[in-house]
Amino acid sequence: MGAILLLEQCLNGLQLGIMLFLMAAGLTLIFGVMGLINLAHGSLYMIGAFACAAVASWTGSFTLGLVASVVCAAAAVALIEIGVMRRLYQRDHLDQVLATFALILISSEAMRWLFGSYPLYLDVPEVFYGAINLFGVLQYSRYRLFIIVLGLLTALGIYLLINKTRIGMRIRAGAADRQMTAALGINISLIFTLVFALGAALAGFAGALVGSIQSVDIGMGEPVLILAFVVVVIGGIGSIRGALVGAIIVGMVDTLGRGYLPQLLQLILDPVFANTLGAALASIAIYLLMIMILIFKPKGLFPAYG
Amino acid sequence: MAVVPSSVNQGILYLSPNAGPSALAGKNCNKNYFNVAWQNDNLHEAMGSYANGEGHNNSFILAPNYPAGKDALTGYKRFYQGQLAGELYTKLGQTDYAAEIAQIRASGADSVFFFLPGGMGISFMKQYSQAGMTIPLMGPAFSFDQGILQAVGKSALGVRNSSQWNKDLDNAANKTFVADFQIAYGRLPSLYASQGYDTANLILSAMQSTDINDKDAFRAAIKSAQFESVRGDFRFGNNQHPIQDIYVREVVMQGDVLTNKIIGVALKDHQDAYAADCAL
Repeated sequence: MGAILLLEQCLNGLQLGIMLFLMAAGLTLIFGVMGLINLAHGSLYMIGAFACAAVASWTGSFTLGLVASVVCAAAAVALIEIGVMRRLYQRDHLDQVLATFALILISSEAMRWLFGSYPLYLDVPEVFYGAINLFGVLQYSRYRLFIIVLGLLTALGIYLLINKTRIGMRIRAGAADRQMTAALGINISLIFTLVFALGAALAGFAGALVGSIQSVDIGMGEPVLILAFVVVVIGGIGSIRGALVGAIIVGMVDTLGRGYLPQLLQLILDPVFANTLGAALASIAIYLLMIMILIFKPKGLFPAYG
Repeated sequence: MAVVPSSVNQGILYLSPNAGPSALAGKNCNKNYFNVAWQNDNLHEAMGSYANGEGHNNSFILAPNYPAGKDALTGYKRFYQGQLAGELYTKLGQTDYAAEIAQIRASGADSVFFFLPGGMGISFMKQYSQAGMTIPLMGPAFSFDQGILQAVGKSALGVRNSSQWNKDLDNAANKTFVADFQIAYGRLPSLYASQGYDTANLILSAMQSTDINDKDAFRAAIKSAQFESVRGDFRFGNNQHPIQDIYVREVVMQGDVLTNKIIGVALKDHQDAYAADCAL
């Protein structure tokens, strides 16, 4: 029983990690390539979830909802990029943080205005309902398995895009040295818009996938945003590979911490105290991890440049 | 908690239409503070008592790691007599419960009691049912309120929950309230709406029978609670918190709307555990 539970918790950790990767990939690209801190990334996640919920309830099709989430998040970011961000690339980080924080408030209120303050309904498609039997011993949620597979495919897609295509080469060049890349005659502002849209689409996609297992409500993006920043810092700012490894580490540590820390502490401490301490430690485990990694590798596990 | 002491100490009457923390129900009770909703532990105690009656004797219980979460599990354990398959405190605002659900599955529990208000409960119930879990769920009314039930969807169907009020309570005041609310807002009233309505009616009843400038008489009129509550029988205990019936409800589908139906009384004329510590 213990080994099966451990396996299930590892799958849960992997699933959480994959979701975080979808968020962190966009964040790290935007920061790496443009040097822009985008706090509104969590809002794109929320917009994706709301778009998916709305379209899925109008049309009854979850697949259309997923498409809508990607389209809406990318469209929202196109507006944001043209209206706000272009003025901020040359400014310092404080201005960017202030402006994108304002965007969080604006988009949250916009969602409240459009959809009301009650949470929206979004459920997983019927085919993914219930559990599937893995290896004959383990009952595992079909939908979470679907998320893992879809997430890994997306990660592979991003890897191929960044490392094997001409566009990817230009993105990497832009991340390494923006001015030099521009001097070589590459339209860097087009690359910026592209990266921004790609990051937004990933965030919207993640929001839609997670929205169907969580509640679709105002402010759902911010807790994920914080975790995604932790992932980016652990993985190394600007590095996609770092984001993937960082996301899976954070997902695992968080899930296994919640699952096992209280029990492990009970071996050495009084049960009631161990339970309280374990619960508290489990909630800060990833931040402790981040501190440890930053002490030994200040630039993260896979620093992208410099 | 932050507002009450500073207002009641200035001699201002304070009628709370929502949760009553244990600190204000026990030795820190105040003659100027009334709670018209419920003391925090009440609904959880009712669920604990109900679990005994259903023959559950191996509950898995979980709540967020903050004061109201601890009150909730304490309240459940005060009345529940079986043993615990597990007790978990989760992070406040947590949205993913995969790790907890895996533990529940492995624990061999025969029932699950959870207090996860707001979005936390929505996430938990959806993930619980999506994971193919069938162990019966129980909880206080907050996660099954009319406002959020539609967001949970069919995952909530059949879940038992405790409440001091429901729209199908058979009394004249409640029928008027439910009908008028639907006309005014075009949707079914929530638990919180019923509490606000009762509080306002209580104030109106005291204003009619006494002069509001005579503070002592007015306070006494409030305390006598001479109004038609939508909950039926309602009176104040010595600590000025309600003594009332707590019901068990089941989530059902009526037409295409998810709502609650009363299936029994969990605790009759229930008073909170802290009243004895109150000197009033």
